[in-house]
Amino acid sequence: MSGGGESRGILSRYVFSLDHRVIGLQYLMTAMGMALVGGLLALLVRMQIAWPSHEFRAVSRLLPQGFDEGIMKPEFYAALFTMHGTIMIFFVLSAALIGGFGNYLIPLQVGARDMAFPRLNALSYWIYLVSSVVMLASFFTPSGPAASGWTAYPPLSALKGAIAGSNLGQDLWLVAMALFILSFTLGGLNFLATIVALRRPGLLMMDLPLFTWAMFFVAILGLLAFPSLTAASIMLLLDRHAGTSFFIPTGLVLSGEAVQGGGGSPILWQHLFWFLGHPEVYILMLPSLGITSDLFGVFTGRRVFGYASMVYAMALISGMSFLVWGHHMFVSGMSPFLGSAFAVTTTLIAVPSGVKVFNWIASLWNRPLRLTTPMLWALGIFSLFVTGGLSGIWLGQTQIDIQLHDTAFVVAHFHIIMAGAALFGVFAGVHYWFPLFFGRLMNERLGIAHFLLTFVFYYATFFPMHLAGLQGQVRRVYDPYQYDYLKPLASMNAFITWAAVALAISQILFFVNFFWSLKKGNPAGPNPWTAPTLEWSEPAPAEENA
Amino acid sequence: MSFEAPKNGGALARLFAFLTAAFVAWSAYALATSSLPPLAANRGRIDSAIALNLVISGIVFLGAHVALLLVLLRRPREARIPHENARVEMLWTALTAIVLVALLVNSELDSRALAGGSTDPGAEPPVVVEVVAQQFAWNFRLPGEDGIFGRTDPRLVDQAELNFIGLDRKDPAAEDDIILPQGLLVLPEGREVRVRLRSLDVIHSFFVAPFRVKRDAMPGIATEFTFTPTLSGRFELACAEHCGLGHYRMRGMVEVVPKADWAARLKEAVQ
Repeated sequence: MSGGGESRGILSRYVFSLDHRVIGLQYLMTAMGMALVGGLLALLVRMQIAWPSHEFRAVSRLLPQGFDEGIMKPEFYAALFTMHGTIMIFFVLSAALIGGFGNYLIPLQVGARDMAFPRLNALSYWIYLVSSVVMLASFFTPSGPAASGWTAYPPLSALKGAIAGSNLGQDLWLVAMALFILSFTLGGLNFLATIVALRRPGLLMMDLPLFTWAMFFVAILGLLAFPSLTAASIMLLLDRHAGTSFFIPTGLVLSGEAVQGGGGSPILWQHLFWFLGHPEVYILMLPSLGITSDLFGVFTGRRVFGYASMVYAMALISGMSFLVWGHHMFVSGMSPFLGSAFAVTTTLIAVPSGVKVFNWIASLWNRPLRLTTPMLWALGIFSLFVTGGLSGIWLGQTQIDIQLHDTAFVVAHFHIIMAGAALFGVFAGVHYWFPLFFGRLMNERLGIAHFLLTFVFYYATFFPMHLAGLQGQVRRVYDPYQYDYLKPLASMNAFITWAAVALAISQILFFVNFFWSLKKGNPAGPNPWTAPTLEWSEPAPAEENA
Repeated sequence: MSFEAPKNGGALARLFAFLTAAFVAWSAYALATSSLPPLAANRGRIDSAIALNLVISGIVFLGAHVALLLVLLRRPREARIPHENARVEMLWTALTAIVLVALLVNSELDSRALAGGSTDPGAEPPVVVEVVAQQFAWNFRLPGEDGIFGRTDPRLVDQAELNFIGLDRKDPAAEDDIILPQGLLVLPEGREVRVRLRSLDVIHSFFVAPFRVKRDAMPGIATEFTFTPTLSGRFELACAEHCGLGHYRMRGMVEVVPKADWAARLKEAVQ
């Protein structure tokens, strides 16, 4: 990186910058773009579930490959839910919370000048951008993007004839994921090194904001868990192209033709995938948990109740998240003994989670609240964590999971706790740190309106899915009403879709607020929220590192 | 700060509290009055477990949200702010752990009860059924008088000859196998059914909601599970694992008939 600050051009200041603040904002803006794609995919999925035999003339003109005379093609539907999940989990939420907020805030919150390895940091971002492009490129392959679910279970994902989208689209998915994981591994290394080694002298770990602690645990989780998916993806690529059979058992017959190869196990993929997959959902959850605790502290004027317990709870949650992955596989045919073991760990992980909820209540009890927009989002996360966490306990019991696995109940659960809490964390963080990023405040009225509408429509969209799941609505189904017993759910599904549309429209308020406030927001002082944490002791907008 | 943020008890707090209360009331009512499809097998322990969880999580759901409402609506009282209190923390941690362990023990007991078949030596032998899933249909066969399933071989699969599972007709044990029409399973009411579940191609999942039965059809292995239908009727079988573009139309039908009518109905179905 060149020395002085005077004569550096646009490219090195704003594009190929090594400054963690620029990199953080690059992640955030890219994630926002990917969110538009992910959200559009969700709306198309909901459109199909609500009205399966409807002719969508207008949409089919915009996306002709996905429709046949206005009727959505089943393979297109499969690609939609696959790419929605993949894009939202990795390219939106992970990128925004960890790449975005993590990069911007960690050095500031620990009192360091920048991340430990600024070049590696910039490289992480550019690899993430390339991985996003590869993932989006898969939409434009002749047989379409991956369509085997974000979980990519073989043999469906391994055998090219098993579904359209299991051709080049699946390969590009695997390549994009490998690149994404590389980006996050580099990022995780940076986070750990910075938090552990570059803290301002005298700043103890137990002085750090809970957001920084969350980033610390996220980095560890990522470094230890992602390699499992990397290995699995390479093995899947080999099965697809090199004649190996890691995941392909002997004796398969696809469409009447014998499948070559054998000796492999599809369950092996599930173990490898979920060994990452479960910590991944905690990677998504932890930043919001940290943000909520910190915001409760700032906007009640006192430190969160039981700070040390909150740290230990996060540590326990993180550690135990490595021991629960099999709860995704209770009905897979794996050993029932394993099932019991995973039920134990899964149910017990609710203990530290419960501790956090009780400590949050104590952090709010009888305290004066400043109901700023960031605080509203934090309160929303509190609600979502309780609601979504409770349904998780149901699913962690093996006998209940028999009835609810692969139904809309699971979809409700993870959208409320993971997607919802992570998403609300993004909104909380953007509103809260906007003055730090850009020197201005976002508009409070617009912020409050956006929050209230999102809170209402988010629950309106996802809560009814619990009921649909209890009544047996299966997941990933292009037309649920092929089954007579699901026909009574038609009006509920239509309601959910309209709520989702309202939810999507409400997000316009956020985008308007964000971009308008960039230019016209009220100028903020150096610490508009009177927060006690270190990131606010810098002048804002932050000066560049010399 | 350049503006006064809204406080507890103010207009915004009341609005947010109202919306929260409305959501909580509606969702609690909806869940409390929700139902599973009518139970048609001897697996009601799942229903009781769900009911138990509904009560426990309902209490926590309501409690946490009532706390949120109170926090929003009440004027804060400086003197009553809770301070760090290790004893209280240990108490609520222990309480949470106790409730969860109780649910776990219940889950383990239920799972064992549900997995085991009848141990009564005088009971009728179970009806053994092999279910073979494929893109996009269900194949069913019974072993016949000899109680032995005939050999199958993937190389013998011949869709044109309607030999979907690759039955080796030269195997003597295959002679009396009863192959049902694709998608239709006929079972007697009140007799234990033991299912051997396989897949020809990708992962499928055998799900009959009224029976409270779900198991993945995992290529490469044959898994077994058991249940006893307790009601006569026609029950739809759904595939519960994404298996390709026809996943949504992998519908089967399980017809449960009174014991006395079963043999005749089977014969009729096979014709």
